[in-house]
Amino acid sequence: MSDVIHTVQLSRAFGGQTVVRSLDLSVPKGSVYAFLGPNGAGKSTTIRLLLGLLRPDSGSISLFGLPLPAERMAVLARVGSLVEMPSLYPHLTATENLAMPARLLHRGVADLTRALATVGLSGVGKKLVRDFSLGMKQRLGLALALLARPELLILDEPTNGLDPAGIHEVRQLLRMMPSEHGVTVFLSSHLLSEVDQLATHVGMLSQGAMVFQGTVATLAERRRTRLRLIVERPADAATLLAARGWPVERQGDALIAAADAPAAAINRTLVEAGYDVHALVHETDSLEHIFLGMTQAEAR
Amino acid sequence: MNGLRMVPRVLVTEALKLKRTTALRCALLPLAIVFLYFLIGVLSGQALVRQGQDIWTSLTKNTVSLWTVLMLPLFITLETSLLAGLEHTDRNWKFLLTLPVPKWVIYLAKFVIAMGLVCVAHLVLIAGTMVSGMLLRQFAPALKLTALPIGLLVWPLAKISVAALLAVAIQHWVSLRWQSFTTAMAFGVCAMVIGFLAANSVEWGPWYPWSLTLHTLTPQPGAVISPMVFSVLAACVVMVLGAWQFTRREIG
Repeated sequence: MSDVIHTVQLSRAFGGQTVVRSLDLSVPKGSVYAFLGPNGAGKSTTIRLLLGLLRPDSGSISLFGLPLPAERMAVLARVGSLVEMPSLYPHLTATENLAMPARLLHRGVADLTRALATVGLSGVGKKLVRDFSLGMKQRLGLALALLARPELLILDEPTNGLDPAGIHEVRQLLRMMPSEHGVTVFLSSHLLSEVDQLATHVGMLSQGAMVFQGTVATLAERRRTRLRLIVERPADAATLLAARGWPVERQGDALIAAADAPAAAINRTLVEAGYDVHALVHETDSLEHIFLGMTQAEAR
Repeated sequence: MNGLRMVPRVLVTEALKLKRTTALRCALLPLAIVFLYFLIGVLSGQALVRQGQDIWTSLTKNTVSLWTVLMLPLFITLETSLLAGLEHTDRNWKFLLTLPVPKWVIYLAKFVIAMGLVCVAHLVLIAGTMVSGMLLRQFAPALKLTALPIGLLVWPLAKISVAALLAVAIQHWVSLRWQSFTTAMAFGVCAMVIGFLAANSVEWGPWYPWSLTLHTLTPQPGAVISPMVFSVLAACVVMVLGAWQFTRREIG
């Protein structure tokens, strides 16, 4: 897959503080790329750099193989975007808000109607935006991004302000974008759940630097599995298991053994020695666990 | 020049944004002057007449003077601030500037809309004065008003529009450069007050952007350059510099 977004050593500082540092971003065509990081990690700054709203201090950006900012016009004609809160004119109706960019993008009524329908706002086209809820504004912002049938969607926290049903709908919509419309989706989020439910590729940002980039499958390989036991008198049980050649770690009231430790044999040993085993389960690192591990390592 | 071809589309878009805005409603402000002189005409008609002048000449000169000295500088400040506020509010720049439109076209279009509103206000002033004249014939027949000789308003206001180009260009830049409505308003009001003083200065009056409109009405003998010509030339310079700065602007 060729890269739709490609940055090399992209850096940007504000007032002497580096917000994006030496970022090598690689977003393959047809992917749903989740750009993750805690608040203040540099996600929004990166997105502004990709859209030409900010200039990099160093490094290069290319979208569709075209360099920014040299080919700004050609690039932006193929991109739909939503940066943080949607940019709307509250004194105009939803339809009027879409009609203005539609004119600039050489799009007709059919595209406008389709965009409203796609985000589920067909029935409120004539309503003033000032009377919209936060979730409706977010949907209208998405409609603006979709208006010109872009090849690339760049979305900054697109599910902000949406209720659970709205979040589900937007995720469904974005998930089908590559397969049904050939659109590559690049979205930033601080919600790790976006990855499992939406993304094919992941980039993890911490303090402006990329700590992981790859497919969701590659990320999954980093998930460690282990055997967790909840047993009475854990200190004694740990000694017993160690004597049998199954070393365990204490973690509060739980004992943690290696993932390949024989669960059935451990259970039988403990029960035969008179220990009550309350739980014995194979558990896998959550995304949060992996992410925190990476970002904390970066912070150190 | 791809950008030039986009200018009409961007202009229409900017005009559409005016719907239901205070900026558009403000174009009716000149009616306040029309109403004032209508009241004076009804209550004490002859007070309108300047010595040695017919009533229409007096009335139109009073109207244009009041508009030019007091209201136009405020109107320019208010309109440019309100127009810029449409984008500053809700930080709409971050969408507008990611559309495939050259930034200078957006800058130019917003200036044209601001100037357009000045012209609309002048049309409102002309139309309002015509209607006021018709009503005065009914309510103050002693004034013996004829139909408005429209040239008495059209030509001075046309010249004032041209002379206002420089002040609009400067105020346009200030309003877009700083997000704060208060900053733009404070700048405009200060510029206007200084204009009151500069207007009476032989040295500075013909060059001060906010005095050019007044100097257009009362040209100084032996002036090096017409206020209108100076306004057009200087406005072009301000617009080029402003557009250059706008294209380099970052949206954080």
